[in-house]
Parts: sequence; structure tokens; C-alpha cells
Amino acid sequence: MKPDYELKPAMKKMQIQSLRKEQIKPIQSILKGHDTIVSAPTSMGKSLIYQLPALVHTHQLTLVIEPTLALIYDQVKKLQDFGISADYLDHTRSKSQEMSVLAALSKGSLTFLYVTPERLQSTRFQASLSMCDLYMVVIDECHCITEWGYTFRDAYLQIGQFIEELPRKPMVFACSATIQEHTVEDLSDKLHLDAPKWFRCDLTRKNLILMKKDLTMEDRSLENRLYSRFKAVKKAVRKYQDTGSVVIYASTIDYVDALYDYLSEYFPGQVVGNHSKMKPHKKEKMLLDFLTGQRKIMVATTAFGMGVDVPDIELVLHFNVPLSMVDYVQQIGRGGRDGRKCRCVLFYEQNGDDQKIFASFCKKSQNSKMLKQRYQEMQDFVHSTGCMQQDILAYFGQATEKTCQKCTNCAKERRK
Amino acid sequence: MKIERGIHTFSLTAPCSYHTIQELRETQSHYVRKISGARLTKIISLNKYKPQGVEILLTQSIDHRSWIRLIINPSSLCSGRYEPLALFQAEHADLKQIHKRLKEIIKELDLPMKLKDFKLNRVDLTRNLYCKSSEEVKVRLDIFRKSEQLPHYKEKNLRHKSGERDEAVDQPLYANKKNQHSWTTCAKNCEFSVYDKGYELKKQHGITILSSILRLELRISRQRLQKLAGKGNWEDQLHQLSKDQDKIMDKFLHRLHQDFPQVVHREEAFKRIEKSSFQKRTKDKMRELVKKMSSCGSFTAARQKMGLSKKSFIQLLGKFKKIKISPIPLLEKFVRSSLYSE
Repeated sequence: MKPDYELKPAMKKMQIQSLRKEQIKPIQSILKGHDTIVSAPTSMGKSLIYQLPALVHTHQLTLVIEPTLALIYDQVKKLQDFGISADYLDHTRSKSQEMSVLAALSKGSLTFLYVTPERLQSTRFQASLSMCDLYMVVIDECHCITEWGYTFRDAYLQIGQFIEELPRKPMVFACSATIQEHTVEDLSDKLHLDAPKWFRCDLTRKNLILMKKDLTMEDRSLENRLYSRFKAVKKAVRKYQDTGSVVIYASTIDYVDALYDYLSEYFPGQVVGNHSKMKPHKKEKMLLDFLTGQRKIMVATTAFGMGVDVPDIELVLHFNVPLSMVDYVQQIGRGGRDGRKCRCVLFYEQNGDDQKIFASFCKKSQNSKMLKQRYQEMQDFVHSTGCMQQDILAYFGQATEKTCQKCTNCAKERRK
Repeated sequence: MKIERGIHTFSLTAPCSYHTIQELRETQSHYVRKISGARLTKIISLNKYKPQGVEILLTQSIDHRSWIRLIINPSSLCSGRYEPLALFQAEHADLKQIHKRLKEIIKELDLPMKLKDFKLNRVDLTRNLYCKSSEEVKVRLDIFRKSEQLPHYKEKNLRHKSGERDEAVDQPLYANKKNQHSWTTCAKNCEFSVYDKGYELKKQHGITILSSILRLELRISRQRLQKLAGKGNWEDQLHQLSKDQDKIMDKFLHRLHQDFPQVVHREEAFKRIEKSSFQKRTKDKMRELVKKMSSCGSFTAARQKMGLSKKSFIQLLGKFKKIKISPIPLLEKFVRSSLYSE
């Protein structure tokens, strides 16, 4: 399948030779003016699906809603490097910078504007947007609508209303690697989509080797149990890291800091951290060090993840069981983006330590019932004896008979 | 004898996130005071404000709550320089000054909590007894060693450092000298310490003072503090404790049986007993107690040797109160005939 002729200049601008079949179909849907939803595996190149049609309509604005600032900075930088008119609005921008972005909006000189969903609630922003020619609204990582909207970012639930209130309804494009079959309807409903076209790609990531490790201990002291987990992290990093990078996910900021401290002793000058409480300049520096490969080990909370494009990650380690399957799949999706083999090691235990962390999250949440359900799904996955890859695909509604032959459960089965 | 009374140290504490401590560790000069076996819990000391009278202790733990503790020498904080002997009276004007200074420190450190989030964790009610000689200090210290052993209290072995304490008496210098210059008894929420302040200053800070000072410190902490000072904010609590300090200290000394007005030699004690109007049987018991007190380590040991119940022992001590002498006799080699407590 060949891309349309009208895409050629846009592809040239972004220095792209060819597109995948899975990318062309949704691009055509967008160019035809349909609301579109794309579910594609991590590292498939989802961003291009909306960027190319937006570049075809370069005189109109494409508004992109991203969940994290890291993602915004990354995307805007990439586009600006290609000489494309792209900018962003966030809390770090001064009033004068914000005014100049809004002025560019009203002049129609901006092709891409990146924001977080919270920005849509600003009346000044709404007023500026109502005056410009809006081609498309993109909701990147749209699973956040159902994942976070009900818990701690209700701004996600207001996106639909925002689109509805625009003077002329633009086309809507939503994409994610983790859309479940039953959430498509919910998404379509929340975003007020008109008969959206849904494109689902094969979600299998063949280069990810899924592993899990039971760290249940009889020791009564939590400190000792944690210490043994810390040692297991060190061991896994030594075993699986070759020349590439490592990402270690922990559930709490405290664990991230403690792991950062601990690992810095054994891997001096190699470790960086990332969580929401870190001071912006420090966080930025650490992120940059990791993205540029100066430091190879990243310890982070869930805040670090979606859209982070470090090609050489060869180990993704979960220090705690993630809160949901979506989190888990998003996080392991950071690995092996350059096609190399990536080990995804999941630590779990039956002492109830992770359960306690989950309970504390539940207490803070307004929708604990949904959180519990998701956590249970994750627990079912952890304790399942079937192929881990198959379990993940089944969770997202993709049936496959082939087992991966590489995960912990498949390896166990082979040894029998 | 000249006696000074007041608060020497108090500490304020607030829960703190692991991350806040991490940030402090990265930005401030510090040293790790204690580390747990698994190395995941640390007690860290920031000394930046110590010359101004504020030591900051951080307890960073992954499995328990993390804390920040401000250990404040209020006299030093008010004057802006180290005041080892000054004792603080918590009057409103001074408290205001302390409040202002602490607020500045919190701001300088960029701590996420406010001063009102801190709770009073410990107060050292202190008395400086100005003795005539260092020998008198030693003699008085020996008298304190013979105090009643209170239930739930244990004599502190200073060979084991407590880690979180800031007091000089916790330092190993006393441990090496077999506690020659200090005596401490402690329970969960209260600690009473008697020590030679001159010796401590010389060894710890290299400061020589001309006076011979015996310091009595009653360190009250946690629930006990709330019981004595009420549930108000830390400034109100400090003010209340400062107001009630004599009452609290006297009550504690009474429990230790250290509230007798005069201490005399054995012969003098016998003379006074003989002169008294008590019955012969009582006089015999009193004499026996004086003898036992010169040989036994404490009131408790003497009572047990005499086979007396606690009630009758207290009654017997009451007789000593009437003749205004302590049952603990002065050592023969001590040249002065008597020591007055007031």
C-alpha cells in the first residue's frame, strides 16, 4: 500500500521514506475527515499518523493533547528540528511567552500546538482557540481518559465538552497502545465522536522477553524484605544490562529515591531519577542525561513513561506490581524500541507489601472500586500460569494461539 | 548555693517525606549519624545552624515515617551565639523572637512544612547548681547516684550511644570514664540526668569555666509532655512548662528522695537523730538507714536490706524530713560539715 500523493511533501519535510500499512490506513481516514481511533503497539509510530495529515493542512491548527510535559517537550522539539511550526503552552511559560503563542494562534501561523488537558479549561485559551481555524484535535495516549479521568485528572473527562463547545467541530484523532475493546465505546462517547473509524494493529512485541520473579520472604521486618528486593534489582541490572539503558519502575516516590540512592552506590554516575516531586531543573537535567545516553539507569514512578523514546532500553524492571495492566503494558512498551531484545522483569511478592501501597492509593482515590478491579486484573496476570504475552494480548482483545516461548511461564512449561 | 533554673534545650518535630530529606541531603552539608543494618534507615545531622543554637536531625526511613527534628538551644538562638550555661525562660517576647528565627531557618532550607506543623517533642527542664568546688560537684553527683530506683526507670549505660540524642552526656567520653561525671536514669518518656557541666564543656567544646556547676536535667518527651503542658501549640506548651518547671522538677526530686534540705556527715546525722523527739524504735531505724545508705548503692537497695515495705520506708523518710537532713551521709573525707540544697 502506497501513501497518497498529497502526503509526499509532508513526508519529505519529516524525512520519511516510507510508511507502514498500519499507518497508511488511519492517515487516509483522517484525510477523508473521519474521526479516528488507533490502537497500535508501542514504538509503532503513532505520532506520524496525525502529524502527516496535519502537515498537509499546514495553514490550519492541529491541537495535540498530551498527558505529560515530558511528552510535549519531546514532540515539540522533534517537530521544531524539522522546521515545522510547533509550540506548546504549559505552566513554565512566562506571560509574555504565552501571549506570543496565543498571538501566533490568532494569526494562523502555528501548525501544531501541544497542551495538557488542564489547559483546555482556561477561558483565555478557549477564547483564543475559538478565533482560529482548527483542523484537528489529537488526544495522544487516549487511554488516559478512562485510566486517569475517573481518578486524579478529571480534566480528561472535560475534553469532550471542550470539543463540543467549539464554534466549528474539528476532526478528532485519538491513539494509544493500550485501548481495550470495551473502552472504545466509552472513548467515543466521552469525546463525542461521529461514527469513528477504529484501527487496531497487531499488539505483539516480539522483542520483549517477559519475566516475573516471586520475592516472597519469611522475614518479618519490612526493611529486610525491601533490602532483599533492592539486592535483586542490583543483580538483575548486572545480569541483563549490556550496553543499553535500563528503566526501573517503582510505585512510590520514596522507593524511587531510595532505589536511586542504593543503585548510585553500585553504579556511580549511571543512575538518574524521575518523579513528580523532583525540582523541575533537576528533573529536566536527569531526563536529558538519560535521553542522551550519558546515564543509563533510570529509576522512576509511573510519571515517566508514555511516549519516552529512548531506543536502546534493554531492561524494564518493575520493583512493585503496577496498579493496572495498562500501566504495565505502557511501561514495558518503553523497551526495545530499536528492535533489540529487552527483558521486562516484574517483581512480585505475597507478603502484602505491594498490597499496602495499593491500599494507600485506594484511600486517596475517589474511584477505588475501579482501581481495585484493575489491580485485581494485574494480580490475575501476575499469578497466571499461561503465556504472559498471550495474557496481555487477550486483555486487549487480541486472540492468539501462539505462545511466545520466551516468557517465564513458557520457559517453565518447556522445562516440564 | 546559687541555683539557676530554666529550659536548656527543646526539640520540635514534624513528619516529613522521604523525598524532602533526600533534597536536603543533596543541598545541605550533613553527616550520617546512624544507619540501620539494612542501610535503608538513616539518621542524618545538619550542622549548618548549630552555632546559632539549632541542630537539625533527619530520620529518613523507607519502612517507617520520616521525620525532621529541630533541636533548639533557645538561649543561643536568642543571643545569636553559643550560650552553654544560659537557661531560658519561655516568656512571650522571647518566644516571639525564637518563632521568627525558626521561620527564617525553615524558609532558608526551603522546607515544605510550616512552623505550626511542628510539635513539641522534648523539653529539658534544667537546673544549674553552682557548687563551691569541683569536689562538691563530685560529692553531690555521688549523692544522686544513691537515688530511689523508680519503677519503669533504668540507669542508663552510656556505653551505648542512643543515636538520636544530641546531649553531650550521651557522648562516649563519659562511657570511657565509667560514668564518673554523670548519672542518668531514664524511662520511655522521661530522662533525668545529673552531670558535671564544667567537665562536659571542657571535653566536648574545649571551653573552661571558672564555676563548678552540677547540672540537673529533666528531659520530658512525647505523651508525658502533653500530660504536663496540655495540648496547645508548642509555644503555649513551652510557656506552661516554664511556668511549672519548679513544681515538676521538685516533684521528680521528691520521687528520687533527693529533696532533703541538708546533707551531713554520719556522726552529725546520728547526733541530730539522737536530739530528736522520736521514739527509740524509730531512732534505731533511722540510724540503721543512715548506716545502710553509706554502704548501699541506692535507697531501694537499703530498703530491701532493711526488709521494710515501701509505705513504712516512706514514713521513715518523713522523719528525716522533719529533722531536715538526708539519710545519705557525706563521705568522711569530705571536709565540709554539711551541704545545703537550697
